[in-house]
This record gives sequence, C-alpha cells and structure tokens, in this order.
Amino acid sequence: MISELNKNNFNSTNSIIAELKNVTKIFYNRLPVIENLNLTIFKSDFLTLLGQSGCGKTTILKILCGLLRPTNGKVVWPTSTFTNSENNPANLSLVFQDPNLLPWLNVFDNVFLPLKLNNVTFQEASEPISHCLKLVGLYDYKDYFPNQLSGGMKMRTAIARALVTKPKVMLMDEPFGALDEITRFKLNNDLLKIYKKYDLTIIFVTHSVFESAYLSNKIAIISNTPGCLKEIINLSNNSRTDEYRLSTEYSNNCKYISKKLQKYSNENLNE
Amino acid sequence: MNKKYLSLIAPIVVFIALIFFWEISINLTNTPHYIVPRPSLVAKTLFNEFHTLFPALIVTLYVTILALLLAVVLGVIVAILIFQFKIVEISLMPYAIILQVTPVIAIAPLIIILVDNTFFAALICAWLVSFFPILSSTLIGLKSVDHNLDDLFKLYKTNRIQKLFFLQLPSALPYFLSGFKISAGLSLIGAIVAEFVTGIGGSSSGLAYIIIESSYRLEIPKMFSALVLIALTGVGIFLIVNLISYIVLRKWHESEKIKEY
Repeated sequence: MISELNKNNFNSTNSIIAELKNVTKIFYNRLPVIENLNLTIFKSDFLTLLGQSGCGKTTILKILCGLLRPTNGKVVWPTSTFTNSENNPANLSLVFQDPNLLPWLNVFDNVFLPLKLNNVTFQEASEPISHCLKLVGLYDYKDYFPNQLSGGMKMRTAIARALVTKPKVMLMDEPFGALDEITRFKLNNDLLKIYKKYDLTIIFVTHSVFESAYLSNKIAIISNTPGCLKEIINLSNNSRTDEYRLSTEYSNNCKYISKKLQKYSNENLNE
Repeated sequence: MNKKYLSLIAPIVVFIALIFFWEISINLTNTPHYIVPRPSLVAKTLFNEFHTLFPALIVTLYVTILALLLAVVLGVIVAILIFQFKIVEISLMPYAIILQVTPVIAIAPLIIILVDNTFFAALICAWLVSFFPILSSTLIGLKSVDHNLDDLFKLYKTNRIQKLFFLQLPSALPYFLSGFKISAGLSLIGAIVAEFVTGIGGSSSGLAYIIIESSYRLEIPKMFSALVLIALTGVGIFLIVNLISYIVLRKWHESEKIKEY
C-alpha cells in the first residue's frame, strides 16, 4: 500500500507556485510556532497541511499570503505564478476559518466586494458574480443578508467571493470545520469540482484525517510545537466521489495517514 | 393577549389612570391652580397660549436639531481624523475629555459672556453636550473592526480611503447610532440649559424661557404646558432617532433584527 502511494511521488513535473524557505515564526519572543519549515507548492497541487490544533497550520497559511511576516527565512512567489492578472493582481484568494462576510452587505454585494475594490463596474461584474453564485448554488439567495443564511451557505458565499477574482491559488483555512458532516461532504465534492474546472492550486488546512485523505493529492504532516514539516504523503489522483468514501483505498489511506500522524505526535511527546 | 398590543395599551391605561388620579386628588384637596394646576387646566392653557408656546417650541427645536446635526457632522469627522492620525488623538484627546467632563451648566455663563449672539451661545451649549457621545462611540466603532475582516482587506490590498468607506465606517455604524441616540436626548437638554442661563427674551425666546417667565409671574398652568411640550419634544426626538436606527440596521445588525420564532 505504501509503495503504491509513493508511486505517484514524482508525477508532477509542474512549475513551482510558491516556496517557503527555512521559515521560522516567533511571536512575542516566545517559543517558535514554526521552525525551519521548507515547503514547495507545485502547480495544480491540492496540498493539505495536516496537524493538531495549535501546530501552526494557520500561521503557515498567513505567512504564505503575506498577512504575517516570517521571523526568519522567506516566502518566494515566482513571477510565473502570476501572469494573468486582470482584476486581481495577486491572483490569490484566502478562505478563512470563519466565512468573514461583511454583515451589512447581501450575498451578491459580498461577492462583488473584491471586484468593487479593484474598480470593476457593476455591469462588468454582474456576469462573473452570477456565475460564481450559480457555481456554489446560491444564486437564488443573492439578496439575502449573512444573518439570514445557514453556516454552510455563509461558507459557500465566502467561496464564491474567493472565486470571483479568478484566482490561480486558493488558500483555505479549515473552511468546513464548523459544518455538519453531510454539508461538509457536499462542499468537499463541490470544491473538488471547482478545483478541476479551473485548474486551481489549493493549499488546504485541516485537522481532519478523513477530509485530507478525501480532498488532497498531497498531504503535508505538520508536527506540534514548534511546527515543522515531517513528511509529505502523495495520494493517487483517483476520482473522488461519494463512492470513493466507501472504498478500501480511501480507508487504507486514512489508516496510513492516521498512523503517521500518531507516530509524529508521539515522537514529539518523547522528546 | 398579543404582546404587541399589550405594550401599546398598558402605557395608555397607566397614562389615563395617572391623569384621572391627578385631577381627582386636586379636586379633593382643593389645591389652588398656582401651586399645582389640574390636567384639564394645563390642556386648556396649552390650547389658549398656543400662539406664544408654538414659536417658543420652534426656537428650542431649532437650536436642538441644529446642534445635533453639527454634533453628528463634526463628531464623525473628528472621530475619523483621530482614528486616521494618531498624532491628532494624542494631542487633542486630553482637552476633549476635560471639555466633556466639565458640566455644561458650569461652562454656559462663560460661553454667554464670550459669545454675543444668544442664539449662537445656546447652539454652542447644546452642541457641546451632544458632540462627545457621538465622537467617542464612533471612535470605538472605528477601532473595533473585526480583525479577520481587517485581514481580508489587507489581502485585497485596499488603500486607506477604500478601507475607511467599505469596512471601517460601516462597522462603526451601530456604535455611531448608539451615540446618536444619547446625543439626541442630550442636545435637547443642552438647549434648555442654555436657554435657562441666557434667558433669551424677546422674539427668540425658547420653551425654557417661558418656564422661567411664567414662574416669575406665577402662571403655573403655562409653566406646566411648556413642560409638557418639552417632554413631548423629547419623546418625538427619541422616536425619530430610534426609527432612523431601525431603518439603517434592521437588515443586518443584531440590535434591530426582528426575531422570528
């Protein structure tokens, strides 16, 4: 099983999207949250950062998108990553742990926000916004305000807002953490569809082994305090459908990943 | 009974009962009208003296509303300036607080000496008391923007102006409105206090001046009717301000959301 998994190790001769080089982050002169982290993200990766709560996954994501500055080391975004920059100079979208919608704007205007801030007119924007809303299945709810939506619908709105700028890279920080299982499964499938359709590169943070095994083709296991990269597990690119959840391959993958995760967390305790 | 009807009917019942009790007890005790007038006499005076009371009401209202508008405009502008430029906050805030904590009734005589025009003097007094609630609540609102939304705007690489108009000002709106509610009540108080101190007579006399004047002349029913008008003005301002807050916030803010069960 393991060798089978590793076979796909070098299937991506793709171009590099981003690199973290020897990144260390220390808050308030305390213990480092992440230490000497090296991570390369290739085009079309669906890379999951997997680890316990508090291991610095979110910090890694925030450093990647520039919301936090690394104490040491650097983040490299090759210029080739961002070529087609019509409306979004960064071509980078972040979906937060919370939907983070503006409560005073309705669904449509929330999705319009990133375009509006880039001086896109309403006429130009309305078509892509409608498209994105249809994609996440919220077109009929475009006049609703966030406080009228369920948790899943809020998250869908946040995803539509992230997609409307036609990003090449999407960073997602436990986006489905607060949702119930069925909704999460549904959104997982939708996300994979969008990922394929737009040839996105996604960096996804979660602490759920099952979610990581279902979604990603690469899993980076992050150990606890300080967070460092322990291993990258490559998974096959089999089509992920609801049947896949019931397959032996999926359960074996989950087992394998769980074991690895346990091994690294025990290792840390023994130190 | 429906809760909505109850909340409407109960105060009315209390009102009628109070008026009735008042009227009866004055009848029974034979209290002269120059000590406490009966409600029916107050109503009659209100009607008969309307030609003097109404212009006074307009004067008081004019000062109150103008002061409130000035407080809103200046309060928001100063809050934005303080928020945007740290140096403004550091250099102005101590004096702002001194002005705020000094009771307006203590400053009023000074203002009247310094400002020749009594109308402007009253306006300044009313503005002084209504300015600070708006300033401080708007400032708190601007400062308490959700830090996750702040991160979102950082990712969008917005400039300061965009961030102010698309994020910070809308976030501050509920805070501003709570300050606005307080200020609306205070501006009436400020206007009345100023009128008391200045004792603006002649053509531009407000309701407070009528109260003073009628107390000198022992026209207690007239005094009461002026008082009724002041109270009604306060209630009217309260209702209008709450309506504004409701219209602005009902769609998205918890404080004005209509809950369905």
